[in-house]
Amino acid sequence: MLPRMTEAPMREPTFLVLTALAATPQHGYAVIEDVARMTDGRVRLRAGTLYAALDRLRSDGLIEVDREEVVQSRLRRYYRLTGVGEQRLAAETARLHRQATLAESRLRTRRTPGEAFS
Amino acid sequence: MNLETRYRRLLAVYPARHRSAYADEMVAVLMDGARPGQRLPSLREAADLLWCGFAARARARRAVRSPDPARREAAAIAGLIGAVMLAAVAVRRLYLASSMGFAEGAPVRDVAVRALVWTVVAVLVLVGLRRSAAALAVLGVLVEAAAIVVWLPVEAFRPIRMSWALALSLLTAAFLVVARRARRPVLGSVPATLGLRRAPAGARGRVAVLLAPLVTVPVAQPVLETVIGIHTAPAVTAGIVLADVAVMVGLPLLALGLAVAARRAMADLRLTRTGVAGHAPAEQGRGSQHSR
Repeated sequence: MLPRMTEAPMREPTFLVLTALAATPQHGYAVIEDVARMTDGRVRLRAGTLYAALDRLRSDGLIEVDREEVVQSRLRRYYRLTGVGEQRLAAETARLHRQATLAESRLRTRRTPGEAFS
Repeated sequence: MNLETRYRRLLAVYPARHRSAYADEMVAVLMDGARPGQRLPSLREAADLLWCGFAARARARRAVRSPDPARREAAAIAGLIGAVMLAAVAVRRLYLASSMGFAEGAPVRDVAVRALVWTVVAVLVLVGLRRSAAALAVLGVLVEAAAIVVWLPVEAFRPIRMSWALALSLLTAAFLVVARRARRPVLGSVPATLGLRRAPAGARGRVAVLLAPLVTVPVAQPVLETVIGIHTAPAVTAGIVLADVAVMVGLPLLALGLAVAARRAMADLRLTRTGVAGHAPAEQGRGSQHSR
């Protein structure tokens, strides 16, 4: 397997989880709700997917446990972005931004087939 | 059975390590997402849990199967040394035979094959073709065994006298199988294998540990021959075979155990030494203040 490079594009759930944790530490269910809100209900993370992402992000050192609370005898673990996680998210955001700008400029210079013949 | 119990049952597909880290938290998330009065897990939630659980299980199994890079590099270097030892012995015997003038024909064919196989294994490790090296080393074990068997009709003590070759080839093959996943796939790994400096941290100590059983094997052979009195023994008895296995397995294992213990002791020593060094500057600082 190839080592995960810093420039490799991020999968969408990973990107959304990091974005959800960017401003403030959140617990698992809050991340699911936040992601649904951010994407206008388009992405609703399932528990399995969420924890696969959280586990991988933790072992890569992009996020860490902020604190644990027990609410109504249920465990709530809050996660926060690490310095490395912040850098990765910033790099990914810049990459997406560059791509979007590029696509925008290409769309502007696009000629319709009619124009090419005139 | 209530919803929470049902979810916990589903979480059983996850590997134990994942469960102990996340099960309680995941149940909380799943229950937070449940509709009031819901009794059964939703189909999509259940499917996602099963899918991710099996994926986590497969990942855990892969992680167990592939040793960490330091161990892999150490195994590659130890395997290389083993292959060179085996090749050197066979080449030397080939050279002696040819200088004595009976190089042609059957008497040295087995030696020639052994020399060839282990030389190629060593070269494959050097150029970083680790998988091929491991496969050929396994074949090398069979060649060593065959080289014993072909002599059996004329020499009953052959298996006993050649125990070291079999033991050495088994160890070498085992090391190379552990090392089969190359860090760099092709020629790039030559400097990494040769120059221990560039091997990952911790590889050097591990090489020493792995070399201990490897160098013990040639020492164990004369010990074995003395123990069973090979020059006076009339025939290969069950007792002799037992002694053979005991010595050729026991001594290398003993060496390995001692080397592991020595490495641990040295690691402890280093730890205490850095601990002392860590305190030293502070005390020096205090000392200079006092002297003022």
